[in-house]
Amino acid sequence: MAYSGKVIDHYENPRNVGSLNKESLNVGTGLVGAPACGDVMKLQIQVSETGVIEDAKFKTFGCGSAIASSSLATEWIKGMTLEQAMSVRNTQIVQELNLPPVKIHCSVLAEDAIKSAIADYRRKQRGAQVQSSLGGS
Amino acid sequence: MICWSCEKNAGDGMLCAGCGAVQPPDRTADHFRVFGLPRKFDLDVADLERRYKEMTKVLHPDRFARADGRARRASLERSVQLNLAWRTLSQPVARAEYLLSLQGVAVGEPTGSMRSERPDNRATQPVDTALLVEVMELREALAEARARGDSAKVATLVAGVQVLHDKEMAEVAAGFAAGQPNLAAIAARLVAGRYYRRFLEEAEPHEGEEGPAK
Repeated sequence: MAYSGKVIDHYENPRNVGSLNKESLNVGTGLVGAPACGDVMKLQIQVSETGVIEDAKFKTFGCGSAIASSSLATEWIKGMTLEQAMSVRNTQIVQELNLPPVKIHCSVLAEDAIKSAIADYRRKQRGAQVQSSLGGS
Repeated sequence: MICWSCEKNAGDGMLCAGCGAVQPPDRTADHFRVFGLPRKFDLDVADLERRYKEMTKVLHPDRFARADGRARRASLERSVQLNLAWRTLSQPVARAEYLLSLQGVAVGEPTGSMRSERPDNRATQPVDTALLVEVMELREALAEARARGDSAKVATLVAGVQVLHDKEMAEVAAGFAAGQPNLAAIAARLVAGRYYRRFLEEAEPHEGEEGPAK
């Protein structure tokens, strides 16, 4: 498999590998998998009070393209608002990393992971609002 | 089928019932029919292997070295079809996935397409979250055990995942044995099995040789 230089760079020097505290209210966790290849990808975001992603971490067990896609994704979404991060498309990842057609699903996985992390964050925030409106201090 | 050589009824075997000329394969035949077997998961692999070896002998290239071009081509096409059928049916995982595909169920098919091209706007087939959580924990435990050089822990993890894998495959067999197989449930078991196999592949070849990161 001939990987592009950018894929190899992200694979050998992945950015933002690690975990954030998934119990924390301002952390959203996305966990997605590609059944076709048995890859699993975790992407976490830490969101500021103004709705900006101030930190992002990932852990991916899969091929080089899946690792590079999630590494790039965390790099991109840091500093983005949730709305901006929602609009990141897998096609942008494909272009940046020059992924071959058989590896496009890796970029799709990264996009799904971002969306899933944002959804998890929003769910937590809604839950917290319900809690406080019920008078639970 | 009319035999291309003697132009009489050839029957439905590999060779013409009348003149013995090898007949081109029926391209519409599924892998089971290639062996003259019914479509079912539970098959006797020893019996399958006997059939495979017998048919391979009949189609051996040496027998067609000096044969007519049409006979050579027919025997070659038969061999290709036979080998693909053998590779698929002799392996339980491939056999199970093939049986599902015959009924229109793809097991975690790679999407391979851009999101916009997908009508349901879903990028990947959903995988059971509990499975993903479990696999993530297992993979993290494996990475940590390796980083510590703890080969005993790696071996324990591998043994545990092997049990999980075999259990899923036993459930696949049980699923097909049911009167009305629940194909979606079988597909989910096969996806779980695939995740466990990926873990085992990842764990085996590098075992013990993983040093501290450079």
